[in-house]
Amino acid sequence: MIKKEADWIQELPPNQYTIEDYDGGEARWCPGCGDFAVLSAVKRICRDNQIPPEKMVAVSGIGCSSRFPHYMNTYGFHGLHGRALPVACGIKARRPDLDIWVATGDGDCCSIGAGHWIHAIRYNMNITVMLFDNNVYGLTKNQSSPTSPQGLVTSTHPSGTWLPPLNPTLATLGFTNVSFVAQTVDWNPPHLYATLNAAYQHKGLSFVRIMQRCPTFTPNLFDPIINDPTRLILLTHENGIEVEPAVEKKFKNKVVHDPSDMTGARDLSTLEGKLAIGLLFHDPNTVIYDEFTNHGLDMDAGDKLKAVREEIARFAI
Amino acid sequence: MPKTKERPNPVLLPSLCKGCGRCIEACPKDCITMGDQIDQQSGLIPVVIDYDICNGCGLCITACPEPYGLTADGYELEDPARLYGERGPLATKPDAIPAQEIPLPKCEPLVLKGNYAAAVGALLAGCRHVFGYPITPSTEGAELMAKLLPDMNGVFLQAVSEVATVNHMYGCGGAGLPCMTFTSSPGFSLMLEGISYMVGAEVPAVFLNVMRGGPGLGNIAPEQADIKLVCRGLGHGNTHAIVLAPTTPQEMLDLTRLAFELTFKYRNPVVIVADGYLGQMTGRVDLPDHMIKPGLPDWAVWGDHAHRNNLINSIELAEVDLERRNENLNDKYAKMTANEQRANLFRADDAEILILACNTPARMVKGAVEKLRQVGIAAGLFHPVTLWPFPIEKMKSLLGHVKTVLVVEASAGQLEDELRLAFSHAGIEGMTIENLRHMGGVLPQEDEIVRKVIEIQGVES
Ligand SMILES: Cc1ncc(C[n+]2csc(CCOP(=O)(O)OP(=O)(O)O)c2C)c(N)n1
Ligand code: SF4
Ligand code: SF4
Repeated sequence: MIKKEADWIQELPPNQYTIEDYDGGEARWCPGCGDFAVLSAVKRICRDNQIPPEKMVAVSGIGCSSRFPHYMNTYGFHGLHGRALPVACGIKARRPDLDIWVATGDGDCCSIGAGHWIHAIRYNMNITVMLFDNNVYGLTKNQSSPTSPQGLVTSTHPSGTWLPPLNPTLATLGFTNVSFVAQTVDWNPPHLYATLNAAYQHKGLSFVRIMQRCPTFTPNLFDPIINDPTRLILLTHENGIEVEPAVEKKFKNKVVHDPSDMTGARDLSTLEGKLAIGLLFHDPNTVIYDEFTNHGLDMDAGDKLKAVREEIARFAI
Repeated sequence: MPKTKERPNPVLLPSLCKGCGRCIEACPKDCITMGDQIDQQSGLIPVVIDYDICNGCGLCITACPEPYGLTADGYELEDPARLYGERGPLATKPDAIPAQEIPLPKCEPLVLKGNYAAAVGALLAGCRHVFGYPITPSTEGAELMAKLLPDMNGVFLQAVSEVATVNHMYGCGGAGLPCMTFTSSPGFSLMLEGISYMVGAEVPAVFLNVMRGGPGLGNIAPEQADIKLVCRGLGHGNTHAIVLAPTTPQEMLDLTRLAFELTFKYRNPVVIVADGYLGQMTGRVDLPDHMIKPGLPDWAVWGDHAHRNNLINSIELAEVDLERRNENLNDKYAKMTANEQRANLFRADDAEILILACNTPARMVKGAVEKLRQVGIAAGLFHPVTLWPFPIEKMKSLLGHVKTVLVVEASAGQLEDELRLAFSHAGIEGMTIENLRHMGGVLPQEDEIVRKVIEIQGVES
């Protein structure tokens, strides 16, 4: 197998997974779509953590970003619009051995799937959730999403959207039992990688909002932040997400933020005209639902039969 | 008798009663009954106590779960007039305001996509309230509405999901206003729960389902595989709705107008089924010579004093009451079945092979019929404009000369099932039924239909 350059340099021992082992179908997003960067970051994380492809499930709803599982050579579940999270929780509830990665769009998660979102955060199962936030409906071609900025002209709001956008980060911070909330951007691959990798390492549900460019329908949406580097604030802290010093140096604006500080996290998630990226909130001591739903997985057939018999015996007359 | 004197008399301030009826069940003397007046303060219907029968046993007081509900005598009754001001006059029965026809100037024909034509039809029928959630291949309708309605004292509201959509419509239709949605198969599936409630509560609304390939996410190509759903499966319970099946952009407009007329005539949702191809296809469309200014039905929950006594709901706790409600629905379904069967025929008057088809396949059949007639085969098209009720009377009138019915459809036999069911109910036996089917977004083609008919002829002769 011809390996990519990065792989030769690493001089991998034999029988190690390489990036190619995670390559699924050829990704068919529009040229320049931010989704490509996320896909490649996830593949690298898989390789670097040597996740066996058969021990990983990519779960999604419906949308451009939800094509994700098709492009990963792991188990995949391309579900229903808005229902990525219940599908993911369903799998994790009884398969704690599988790594679950969820790809969901801002329409998928924050509009039709909003009810599931609240409860998935509260369930806090050990899964990694990537919210691809392009502020618009891509797949159905340019309708408003709950995260569309106020005044954005879309085909369902031809004179601009009326409402202020829903802030998924702030909302998630407000849901009971939240344990890991981070923000990153598709256009800074090292930060994207570091954030998703930290999310993957977290035990509990990690929620990562990825600002994702959609060159087809909202081409200039993130320009103010991209063109003015002072508007992108890097969150740093010893308990936060670490990026290479060279990458860190590129940021003109840095804020030290302790991820256990919820009030600070909320403030940082609502900056006007600016975007804070990094770990906003982390609580390693929350209740993890799948630890309860996984009970009994080690029982053998004899144990189960015995349990059934005992239960049925209670109905004997 | 001093004994009864000692017993407490139940006292109730009507505006604090929730009308739950628990006291009625608790009362051994049957002196408490459900009232028949909505309380103007609470909007609920309080119970009425007949003190002539009451012996003051107090069981109702124990039964009442409301902290401010039934209490023992001696409770200082505040004068409601002092608490809340003078009681307003009771709501009277409102008059129904009929819809009006407003003449339209003659205008040039338009060239419109099917989805746009349906939107224009809705506007001309007086619809100013459109709710929806984007889904291909139906979204153009909503997008046009989003553009036009703000200038017409109307609104397009993008809902957060199809579940929200149907409930917006439940509310809007309950207010007596004409409203509609544009959706496609997976979205329509999500609306079924709400549609069942709307049928139960007798609320009008128009649903356009631009059917796409299924099951599941399927694809966005044309299919007709929701026929079973719209004719037999509109949510739980005893539900039916008139189902209209246009074949051209012109019919998309005309049948959408008709849908609004029928939905108010019967106080029942109406479903229009198109297919993805018809939604996207452009065609010549003539506008009607009038538009409708909607009226206001007397049952509407309109939000003014006159309509104060109205209530929209589908709950009926007592079994006999719910049975009666179902019987009323059945009467309504029977009326629809008797009065609303519609079909378009093309060269069917003397047809020996009658081809049953609707939506885009019916257009293919029309072309095929023309070709078949040129080679001397007596084929004809039977296009059921109403899929429910199935136009069996029209069909019956043709059966004298028809030897075979060929069902051409983009589904695995759902249209044919409607035909077979209609035949069975009508006691028609022994008719030869052939079929030509495609699925997954593939449409039956004209040549294929011609070949199929020739093949059938060959076998018969
Ligand atoms: C029940 C249902 N309703 C509507 C749709 C149509 N639909 C597909 S994707 C989508 C929204 C996509 O937006 P988003 O989740 O933000 O993802 P993106 O395409 O922008 O990545 C919609 C409305 C559907 N597939 N199913
Ligand atoms: S429409 Fe936008 S989000 Fe969808 S693939 Fe294209 S660029 Fe990406
Ligand atoms: S139990 Fe109380 S609330 Fe219920 S109907 Fe009787 S008085 Fe009203």
